[in-house]
Amino acid sequence: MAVKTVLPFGPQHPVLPEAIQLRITLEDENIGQVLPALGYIHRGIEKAGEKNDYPLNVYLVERICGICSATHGLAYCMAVEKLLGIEPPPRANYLRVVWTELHRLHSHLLWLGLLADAFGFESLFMQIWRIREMVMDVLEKTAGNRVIISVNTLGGVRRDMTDEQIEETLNTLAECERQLNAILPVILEDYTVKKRTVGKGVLTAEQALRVGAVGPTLRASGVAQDVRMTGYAAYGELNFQPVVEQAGDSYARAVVRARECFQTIDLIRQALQRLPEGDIQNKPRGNPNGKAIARVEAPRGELMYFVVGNGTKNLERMRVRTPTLANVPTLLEMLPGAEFADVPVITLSIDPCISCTER
Amino acid sequence: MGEAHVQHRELPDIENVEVVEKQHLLPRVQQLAARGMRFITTTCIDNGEQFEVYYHFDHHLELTHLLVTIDKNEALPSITPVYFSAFVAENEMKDLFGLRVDGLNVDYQGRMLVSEEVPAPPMRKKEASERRNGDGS
Amino acid sequence: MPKMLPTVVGNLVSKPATRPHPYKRREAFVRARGRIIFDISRCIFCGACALRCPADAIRVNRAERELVFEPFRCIVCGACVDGCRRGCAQMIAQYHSPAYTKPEEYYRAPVEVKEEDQL
Repeated sequence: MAVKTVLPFGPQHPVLPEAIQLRITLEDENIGQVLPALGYIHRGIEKAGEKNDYPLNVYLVERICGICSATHGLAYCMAVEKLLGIEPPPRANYLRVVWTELHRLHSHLLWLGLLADAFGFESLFMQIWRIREMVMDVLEKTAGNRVIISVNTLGGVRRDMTDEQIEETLNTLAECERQLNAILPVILEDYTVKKRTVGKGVLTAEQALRVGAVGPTLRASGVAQDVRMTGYAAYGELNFQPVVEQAGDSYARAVVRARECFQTIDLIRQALQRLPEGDIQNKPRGNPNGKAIARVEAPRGELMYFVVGNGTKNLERMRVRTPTLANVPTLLEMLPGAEFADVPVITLSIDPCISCTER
Repeated sequence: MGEAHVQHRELPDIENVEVVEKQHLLPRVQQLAARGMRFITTTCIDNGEQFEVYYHFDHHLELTHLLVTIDKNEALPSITPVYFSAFVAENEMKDLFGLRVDGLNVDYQGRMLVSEEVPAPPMRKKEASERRNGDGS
Repeated sequence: MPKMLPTVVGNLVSKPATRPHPYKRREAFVRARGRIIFDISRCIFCGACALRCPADAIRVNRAERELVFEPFRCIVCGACVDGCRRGCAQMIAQYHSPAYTKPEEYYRAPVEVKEEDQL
């Protein structure tokens, strides 16, 4: 006779980067039902966004998440620029692409390191983060900071890149690519790693669309949807194809993120080689009024901002829909039927960023 | 970019918004689900008198929206029978605005994000008769 | 195992990737965000920096010609530097070193800057 137990997974767990609790009902090692409990990191950012003046909100919004902070700033600036009726100049669009893609690269390298750590492979975790240090040095030399870079502003960007910085960035990226080619086969073609990820946490394409998954979680199930295909900022002028895998299990999600690292390096090269001349900001004037929506592809999926202005210098409503908010219900589809020892790897494979989720 | 024409510019608004009544909400959402739309999220705006609730959907990267306007003490039907992943967004509206939603499959009773020590829903605008000292927590 | 071998051998023969901080410190990069300093001889006490600060770290008193800056509230965003028309607020690349108490910096024109400890 099966014995039913309810076990809490989290909020403190070595594999989770942030605090979320999953209440798992077990029957002798197989999982029956999963219930998430959120609310550990709620900071009330949507309410704070209504009390600040609208230019100061850029600094608030970048601090929602540490790993994808430049994409939050970009989405907010794009939404409020629609309300003010201004557009950034072309050079600013290309620079925004460069910094957003550098953020995506460092986020995927962070995740690959955490995946290695989840298996107990700590030396590979350190090696991958050594490659990530080169990317953080590039961010510090060009934008000023390693993590919260504060380059997006209303109407453009705040800093420019000189020619020698561009050349140094391209050299660093070539070195990153060489080292990634040497180190990624260690994790992706290993027999033990495949035994723990292939066939675990399977999400079919119709399940993914019905549940509302976004980002690499959706593209690993065979659906080719990526918000960068709509061509915001300078993506419409770059050569870009979404990375898709068909299997829908944890291994496919890891392969999608590894291939996206190489695609990112290629996109940055294209953008830096085609950088147009010009100034970097169009100054905003007036107060925001009306309603606007902006969507951006963050490293974890689709990020949507819905802002409502009422003609004063405070916004009426700022609504943020982060990608992990849409990916957490996929756990309720993937976990039932799996074994309890697979729960950490499956939870990590959707790349949970809980500080984004709870704002 | 035309600064002299600022006062003649139309107010920017979002496209593809369809206004529905509360009783037609569930059938309309079922029609959208049959066409293969992906559910994004819901947004609740408090304009002082009533709640305006937007439902956002996406189909191959094109957005569609539904808008329901209700009074502050009315209850909305939940769309979790059609899209079960909507329970996250609807519970968040319950916590932060005190909006009543009936028929949720997973119901946290208003305590998903907000702890027990918080006395009132934090994002509701205060009406003129209830304004306390200061500008409200 | 053979795939990781070149990396392992490379790590054995090359020098360590870390440096013994605080005995050897790294030079700050040229455009890094370190800390904010004020050149009070150029200040006209207009208050534009205090208006733009998202962390409320600057207080300007025009009548007494005094500017109070709390470096541990500052998030080094540079909004004050962008907004100052006289070049008084500047960002330098070396970050503020840690301290046991949180000081406030008082700048009074035309006297030199002096630091006083607050609670």
